[in-house]
Amino acid sequence: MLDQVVFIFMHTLFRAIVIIGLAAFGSLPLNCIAGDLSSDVRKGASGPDSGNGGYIEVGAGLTSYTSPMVGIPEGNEKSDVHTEIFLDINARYQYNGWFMELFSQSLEQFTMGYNFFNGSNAYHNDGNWALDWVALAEHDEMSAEESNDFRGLKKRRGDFMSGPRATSYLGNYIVQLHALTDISNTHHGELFSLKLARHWQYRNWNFHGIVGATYRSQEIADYYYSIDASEASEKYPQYNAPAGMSYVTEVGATYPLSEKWVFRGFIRRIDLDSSANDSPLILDDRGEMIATAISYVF
Amino acid sequence: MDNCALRPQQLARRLFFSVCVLLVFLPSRFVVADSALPQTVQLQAKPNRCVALHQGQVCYQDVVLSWHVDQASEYCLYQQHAEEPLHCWPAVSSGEYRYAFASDSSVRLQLVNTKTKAVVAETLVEVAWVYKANTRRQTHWRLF
Repeated sequence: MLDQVVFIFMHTLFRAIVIIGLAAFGSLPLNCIAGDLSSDVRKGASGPDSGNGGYIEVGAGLTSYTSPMVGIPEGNEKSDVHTEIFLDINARYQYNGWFMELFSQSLEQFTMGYNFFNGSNAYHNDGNWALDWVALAEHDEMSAEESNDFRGLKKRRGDFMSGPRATSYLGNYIVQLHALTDISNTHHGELFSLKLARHWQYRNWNFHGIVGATYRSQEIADYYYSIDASEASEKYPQYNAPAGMSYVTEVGATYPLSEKWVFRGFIRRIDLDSSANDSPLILDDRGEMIATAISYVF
Repeated sequence: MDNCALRPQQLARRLFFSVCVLLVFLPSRFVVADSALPQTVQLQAKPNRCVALHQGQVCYQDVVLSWHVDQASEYCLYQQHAEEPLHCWPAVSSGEYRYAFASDSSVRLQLVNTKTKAVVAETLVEVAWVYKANTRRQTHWRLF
């Protein structure tokens, strides 16, 4: 009985995290925001979290989104609006430079890493730098087990990518660069992303904005979005996906209801290269999401 | 000798008189003692806590400060260590002030009798936060 409860809880948790990640970014090529960037800008942080320790938050939220991806969620059509309740989990722990972080409102999923360097920016009094090595799942599995819409297509495995992550804190701005390569022998591709975030404080409200661009190599696009001859059908005709860019724009607000309760809300838009629409697995060249959540900070 | 001796009735009357005198004066002595006790003063801040999102951020809160003292006089409300008062009142024994609190740390507020320069009451508006700053500013490399 306990096993069943634990299984149901873990399954619900995992599904909520995946839904937020996938919905926001349309699964693969749409992920462009690093977890800590999304989290730091929401907190109004002025530097990297470089000390030992951590925190965990658990809450509930409501989201409405459009997904440009076939099969995410199952039965998705172009411009369909999906509304769901989700479990909001935010957690970070760091010890002697090793860290792990999970922010369900971020574009990234669970991230592990090591913080090599923290430093002050010589050109800005308020500036701080952080250099990390990170490893994270960037792209989720696409298979008939995950969604019936993928029936008849070969299974595309989820990947695991790793590489340096550089973050600069310049006053109210945060700039972050990722350079990741596949280490899971899935597609052997590379991903580069650059994000700029800014936060504003108005009384005790913390507003933020994020813009970012992500480049995915042809190996990634081909693995997830091409349809090869062996799986081509009337519904999914043969297609060769080129390397491509995706862009994210986000604005949001965070408010401390008390020392333990935090309210968050955001609106996010993901834009894809116009050529992305040519893939039979992509319905639209953009996706939108609006979400609100209340979380308890332990 | 007989004149000096008190008859039982006289003794009873004097005793009664003495008790009456005591009963009359005792309460007045208690009143005098009461006035010698410290004044009952109150300075309250509502709410007395401001919550910011992140340690180090300025916290904003509209705080109502209300006070009451027994003796009317001239009083001023100060932030501790501040030169200028937030507000002053002439010859009153109570007051209320809407304080636009904005600080990145807790602030002690003091009610001062401007004639005696004495701090007659004080209260604290605390600043709390959800996320503590966990940042070390020094430049450093590390390798495991």
